[in-house]
Amino acid sequence: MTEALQRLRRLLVGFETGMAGLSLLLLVLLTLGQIIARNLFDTGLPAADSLTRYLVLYITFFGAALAADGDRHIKIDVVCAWLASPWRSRLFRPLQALGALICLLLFQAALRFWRDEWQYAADHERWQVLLNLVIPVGFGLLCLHFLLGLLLGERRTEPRL
Amino acid sequence: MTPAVITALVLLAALGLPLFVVLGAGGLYATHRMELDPVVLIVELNRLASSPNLTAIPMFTFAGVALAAGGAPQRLIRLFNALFGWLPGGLAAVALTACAFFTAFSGASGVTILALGGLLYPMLSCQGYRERFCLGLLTSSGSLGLLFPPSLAILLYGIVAGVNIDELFLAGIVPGTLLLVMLLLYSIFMGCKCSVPRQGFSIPELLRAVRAGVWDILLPVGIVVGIFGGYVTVNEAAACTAAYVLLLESLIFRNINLTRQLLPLLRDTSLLVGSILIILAAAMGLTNLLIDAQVPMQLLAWVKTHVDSPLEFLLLLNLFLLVVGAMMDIFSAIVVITPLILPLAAQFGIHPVHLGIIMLANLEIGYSTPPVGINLFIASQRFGKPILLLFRAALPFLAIMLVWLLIVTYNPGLSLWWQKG
Amino acid sequence: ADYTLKFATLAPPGSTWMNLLEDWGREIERRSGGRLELKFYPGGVQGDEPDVLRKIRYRQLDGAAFTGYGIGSIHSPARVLEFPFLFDSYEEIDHVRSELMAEIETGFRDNGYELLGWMEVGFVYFFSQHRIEDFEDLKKRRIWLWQGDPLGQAMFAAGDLAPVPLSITDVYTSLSTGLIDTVYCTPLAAIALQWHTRLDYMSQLPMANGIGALVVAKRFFDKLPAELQQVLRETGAQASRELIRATRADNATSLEVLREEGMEFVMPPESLDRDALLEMRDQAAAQLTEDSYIPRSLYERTRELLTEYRSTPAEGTTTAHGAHD
Ligand code: NA
Ligand code: NA
Repeated sequence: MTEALQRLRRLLVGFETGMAGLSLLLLVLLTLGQIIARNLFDTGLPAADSLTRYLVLYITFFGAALAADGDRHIKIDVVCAWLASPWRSRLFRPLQALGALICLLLFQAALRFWRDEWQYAADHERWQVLLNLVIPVGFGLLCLHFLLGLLLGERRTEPRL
Repeated sequence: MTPAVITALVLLAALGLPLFVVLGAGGLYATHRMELDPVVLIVELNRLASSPNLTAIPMFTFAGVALAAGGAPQRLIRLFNALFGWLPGGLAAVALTACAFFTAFSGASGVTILALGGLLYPMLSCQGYRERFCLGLLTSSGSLGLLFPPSLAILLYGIVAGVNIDELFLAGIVPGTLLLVMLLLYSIFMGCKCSVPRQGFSIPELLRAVRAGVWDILLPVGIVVGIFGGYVTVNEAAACTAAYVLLLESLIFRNINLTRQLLPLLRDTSLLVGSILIILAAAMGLTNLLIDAQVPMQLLAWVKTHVDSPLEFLLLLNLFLLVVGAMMDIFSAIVVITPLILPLAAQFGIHPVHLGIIMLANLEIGYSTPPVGINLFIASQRFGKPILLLFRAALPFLAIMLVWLLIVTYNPGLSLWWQKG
Repeated sequence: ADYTLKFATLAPPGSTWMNLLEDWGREIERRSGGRLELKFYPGGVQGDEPDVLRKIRYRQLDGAAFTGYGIGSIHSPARVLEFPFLFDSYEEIDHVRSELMAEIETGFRDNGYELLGWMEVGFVYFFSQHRIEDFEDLKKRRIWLWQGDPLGQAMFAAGDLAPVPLSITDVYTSLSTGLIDTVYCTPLAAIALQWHTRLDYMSQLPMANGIGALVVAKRFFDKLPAELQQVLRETGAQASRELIRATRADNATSLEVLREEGMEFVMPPESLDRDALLEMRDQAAAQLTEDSYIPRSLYERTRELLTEYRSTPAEGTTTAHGAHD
């Protein structure tokens, strides 16, 4: 069971790393492409501006999912500084459960938002609504990572940057 | 019911619930209380997808991460040492000026700490500054350039208050420079106190250091010339920076092996950016609900009934804005608070330009105060330190900024020197 | 108050528009005896027009003052009234509008909105940080396009321009970060939104008379008692007359303000190739009618109404903005 969960975890992390990395690379390349198009050809790459802004959203959500996997999200853990380490470990699972619950609720809201966007979108905006899928997917991934944390317990986290 | 929920959320945050979850939970609870559809939280989040102001953040961050991995801090330490090592507090002075400068055009969105912090932190600690001093300096400098053009915060205030932007830029110069000078003096003092070793000035060493570090030094020069010369936009400068750094470190210095290290670098950058912007995403939903419930307006209505003299008003204004800055992000704070304060301030005879400087000065301090101090979060993530430690480290700097705030508030002449008569 | 109407607008606090809207709010409160109250969210604090439309959909907001872009998302045919290079004068606009208004009101209602009052934002011009003499110069510029606006998109495509799509709330900052250097808006808006402080040149070619509307969600309107519905309608119509009058007057004075502040006026209409402009218009019209954003029948009827009005030897077409075919 644990082995299967760990495999799922690695699968997710691989996917997220790929998506985040690809988005970041694409962001740089598209922006460079815009510079060349603007300055050499007096024109812009159509839709590139909108696309770059979506890529920031992709980097945000896939990056946030990676941070959830390593338990490296930003915290104001004032109390933890004074807590003994066994207590901190005991807190880990309940907090992961809470994180999963909140992300699940946000996932539901995001899914409804996305469905409505799809329904109301004009045809020429459909591609942007498709890109918008990252919002429900992002919250879904965050929820999954918190669930995995809940089931697998506290892991040794990688050293920080 | 509501106070209990807020207390519970604060407690959970203190116990280590990720901040974005805390803000998300707060948003969900508030929508429930206000009988709103929780989808409105996502509507706010979706606005991130159309905002062009964030595009530079991942690319500058990537450049910072790649530079750090490629050994640029070492090359730069050597160069700065050769240049300023003989001066007491020399490197701290360089750090402060660079941060102020960088914030002015990166819009105080936290880019400064991400892009420069990772570089300056190891440099400062290597030089023998106390850790607390380094962290405090870098945490509080993330908003240092807020009053210099072309800061986004000033622009926004100008739009909302209907004040001429150029006058605001002029008004910001003296107060902004004053703060910079005050912090420089403190840094020189600390440099002497920690007896940071000074090194003698030597031309051959300088030349060697320049040869090693010239490629890195060209970077800020290129950014400044590119942006202020009008050749590239901020976003394009960020992309060029990222590409330049990658080529520099992989092809010229060969410190980064692209096939092995590119993916980890991209991953580290995304993780850093994601953990920050997800908080902004969650905070946007909550801020919108505050605006919807007109909470800030109710606070101000109270002020209106309890104040009579300009002095009293300014003092309360400072307190109020410090609280606002502690709880709200600067851009929504400006949009929401300005129209409410403006008529009040006019009643007490305060010039709208001066009011703008007071507001920004307050909110600048709010950047480094808990619970919602974007500088604290970013620094915490960048340096891997707990928020509370960073707050304590920033305290001496915040104290100086408070003194400065009082000077700026009660001397309208500092902001209005350009006026005739 | 028994009913609170939450109302959003892009108009900044203290602007002509906002002052008049606040008067409107007070009038409603007075005439309803305090039973109906307006709660304003000015200056785009609730976001750009698409965001406001979403928030009305999710019942966070109940009404808004929209410009052509927002109107297009509710009932796009109404935008025929702001079609570029079609109308020559306010009189022509007023005439055609009075002919089409009943239809437009029905269109709003069928799409879940009650139209309380019609508005104008005024004639739209190009403003730039660089000197622009003709359309060739525009091709070199980074021109703002209101993100997701089909009418703007069709015009830019017809003019072979590559714009930068942005939310209106991001325009000002993007003018200073260099993301864009050219925008299109009315003189009044250029001042109200402070964009003019970032711009040096203004084209004198009037492109279209931007429209606007005061709307409320039908779900909100329908739950009001009949007498409050009446109050909303009557005060809305009154506010609308006041808004149109003030907008026309203020756009004229704004030109003076801009001149005094050193804005340089370039690209006079007589210097431009009129046929090329009209061809651009027709190309955009072909595109938009094909997508049925604006129905072909309506577009053609509008042109017939114009031809008819122009051929009647009538009370005069005084405020000429450059003659169009
Ligand atoms: Na704060
Ligand atoms: Na803040």
